[in-house]
Amino acid sequence: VIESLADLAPSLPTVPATLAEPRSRASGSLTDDAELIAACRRGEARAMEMLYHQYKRRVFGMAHRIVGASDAEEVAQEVFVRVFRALGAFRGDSALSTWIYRLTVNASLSHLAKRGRRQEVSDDVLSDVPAPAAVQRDPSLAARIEGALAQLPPGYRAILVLHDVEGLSHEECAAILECRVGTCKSQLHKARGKMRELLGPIGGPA
Amino acid sequence: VTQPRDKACAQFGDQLTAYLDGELTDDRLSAVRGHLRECEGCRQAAADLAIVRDGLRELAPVDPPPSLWAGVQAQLAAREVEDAHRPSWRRALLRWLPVLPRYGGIAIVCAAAAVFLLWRATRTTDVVETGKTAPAIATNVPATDPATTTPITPAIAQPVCPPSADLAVATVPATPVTPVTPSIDDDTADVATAIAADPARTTASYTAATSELLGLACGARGDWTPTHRDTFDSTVTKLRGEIASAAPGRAQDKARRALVRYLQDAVVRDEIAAIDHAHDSHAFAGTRGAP
Repeated sequence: VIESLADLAPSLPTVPATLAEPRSRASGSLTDDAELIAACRRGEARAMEMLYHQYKRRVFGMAHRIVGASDAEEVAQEVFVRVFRALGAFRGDSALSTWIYRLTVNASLSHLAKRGRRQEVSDDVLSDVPAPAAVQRDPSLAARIEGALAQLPPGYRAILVLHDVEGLSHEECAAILECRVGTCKSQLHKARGKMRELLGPIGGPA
Repeated sequence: VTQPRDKACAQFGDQLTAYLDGELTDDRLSAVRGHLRECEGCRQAAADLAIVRDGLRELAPVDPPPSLWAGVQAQLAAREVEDAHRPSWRRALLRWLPVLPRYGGIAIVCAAAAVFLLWRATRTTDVVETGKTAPAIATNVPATDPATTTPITPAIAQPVCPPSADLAVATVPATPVTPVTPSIDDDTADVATAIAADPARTTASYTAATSELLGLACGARGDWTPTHRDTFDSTVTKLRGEIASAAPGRAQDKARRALVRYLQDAVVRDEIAAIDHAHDSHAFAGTRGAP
């Protein structure tokens, strides 16, 4: 992995570095999951609470960024209700985390479909986004990115949230979205390109 | 050979995300880097995409509100109460819904087979019913058809068929057809009237069926052997006697049914024998017309 091209060829323009190492927030082992699932199916309140606390931030975070702040709690609540009620049907073909995230993405996308064309972030909010700074990292970039993310088509939003925001691998994303890894990669590329279009000129190389 | 800039930009542009995420093999990585050194537009695009990627990665985690867990628990409790009030067949359906996609193909085939068998069974029943009771006649039959009721009481020993019986006799029920009782289908008839009219309608059905079958049998009688004619006449006379002596109601209906069945057998056997005879007159020459 090459850290910086500037060291190798100082006279040439610097290009963005590749990722040093894949970021992964891997889930717990299958045995842990199996024990937790068994306890939840027996109706043990402590186990149910443990499972909730284990996944609450991710589930809520995904829902928040896919459906928006106002509906995130409703969607996350529905996801956890489905998780606890359908644990008996969980066959262990995939990791528990993959299954829960799949439920989250599906619930979020179907919520958006029900909500129709109404967008979480209106044009007024977008117009408030400050103009991009000409150099270096824009201090308000996070707000602009949140705004642009909300403007993306739901499919692009889902892949960006899973891969970039939550740091899941392409394989995990493909399992959650029930598509091929290649499809997942190409969707990610298109989604980032669309984000770049929405954000406009961002700035020069860091 | 160098590629035109636009073509190279399109080719390498598609690989920028994989490049930024460290997913390219060494040779492709080197080629993309080489292009980025030469192309300012792609270099800017890569820088922007890197900022987008890093910006997304650095978004602050969102904490769920404390009310979320309470809401989940309340929803779970509410759904369990709903389950308790749900009919058992709906609970069973919900239990099977998740596995339906897996077994959907088999289920569709089974359902199609069940529908086909049901259709076959219904069709067979229709055919049998039609042959048994001749509903087309049964709905509009005279209550006092002489072909059955008249011979029963006054002259049980009367000849079964008149001496001049021929095929024209088969169409005997040309007597005026008048409904005996109000039809159930009549909107004005109430249920009690319809139920009370049932026995009379049943008797009328047997009467009409006997009349028609007797006509058919008498038409075919000329081709029978003298022995078969005698057997037929004596059996019909005996069955008529049983009808006359039976107590009105179910017993008499049973006796009427026996006569109808006997006549059906006689007519059907005669027709089958005729068909067989047409195919092989030698083999069945001696058996035709056996009642």
